[in-house]
Amino acid sequence: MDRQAILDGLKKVLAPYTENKQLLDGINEQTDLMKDLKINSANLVDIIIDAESQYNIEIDFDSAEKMLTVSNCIDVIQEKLKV
Amino acid sequence: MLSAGNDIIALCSIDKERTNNPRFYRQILSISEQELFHASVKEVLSFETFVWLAWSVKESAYKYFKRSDPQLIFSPTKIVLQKIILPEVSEVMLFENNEWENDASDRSFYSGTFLFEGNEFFFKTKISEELIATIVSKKKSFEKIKWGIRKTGLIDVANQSKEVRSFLLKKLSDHFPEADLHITQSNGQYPILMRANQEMSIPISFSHHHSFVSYSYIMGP
Repeated sequence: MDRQAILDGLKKVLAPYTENKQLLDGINEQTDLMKDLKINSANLVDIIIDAESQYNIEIDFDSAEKMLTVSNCIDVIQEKLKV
Repeated sequence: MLSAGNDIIALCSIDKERTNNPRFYRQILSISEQELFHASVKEVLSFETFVWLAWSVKESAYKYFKRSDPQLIFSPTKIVLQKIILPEVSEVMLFENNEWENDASDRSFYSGTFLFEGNEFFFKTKISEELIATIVSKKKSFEKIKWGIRKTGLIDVANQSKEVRSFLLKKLSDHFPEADLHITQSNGQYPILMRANQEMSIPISFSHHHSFVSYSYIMGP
C-alpha cells in the first residue's frame, strides 16, 4: 500500500479524536498528532488499536510510541503491512 | 532539578469496554502492574479505573521528566508502577465555584510509587465519579506541591488551554500580587512561568480532558 493510501486511511483513524476536521482533511506527513491536531494524549492508545483494526496489523510497543507524527504513523503501518 | 507533572482524566470520556480489551491495556500496563490489581484494590476500583489511574500516573511522570529531558518520548511501559496504597478515608471531592484545590489535611487520595530509569518516584491520585487526577513528586512529601482542578463545561481544546493558564495565574496572583506574570512555552514544549521577561524557578504543569482542566506547581525545593 503506498503512503498516500495509508494517509487517507489514517484520516479515518484519527477523525474521532480531533476537533479540527478541516485541519484533519489537509494533514500531510509533517503533521503532529498532538501539537497540530490537538489530539489528547489520553487517545494515543485508541489510535494504535484503531490503526491495527483499519490495516489488520499488530503494532508492538516500540513502534507504537513512535506514532506521534503522520510520517511516523505511515512508516510504522507500512512496516507492519509487510510482515 | 525541581519539576512538576500532573494529569487529569474525565471518566465520562473513557470507553470501558475498550479499556478492558487486553490489546488496549497491555499498551499501558506491564505484567507486574497488572498484578497490582489484586484483592484490596479490586474491592474499591473497577479494572478500567485502575488502568486509567496507571495512565494518569505515567502521563504526569512524563511531563515531570520532560522538563529535564525535552527529547523524551512518552513510553507508558517504561514508567512502572510499583505500589498502590488505598485512601485512608473515603470522602466526596468538593468543588467550590467549580474549583477544587488540594489541601494538606486531605487523606482521601490514592498514593504509591513508580520507577523510571531505576529511580523511585511518588504519586498521589484523586478519584471521584467524574475524574482521575494525579500529581507526581521526587519526594514522599507532597507538601510543597499546589494542585488545582476546574470544571469548565465543554469547551474546545484551544480554550481549555487558555482556561487552565488563567486558572493558574489567578492562583499565583495570591503569592505574587503585583507581579507581571505570564506563561510561555519552552523550546522543549513544556510550559514555563515568567515574571516580566525572567523565567521563575517555579515549575508548572497543565492538563485538560473533556470538561476539566488542572494545574500543578511546586513552591520551593
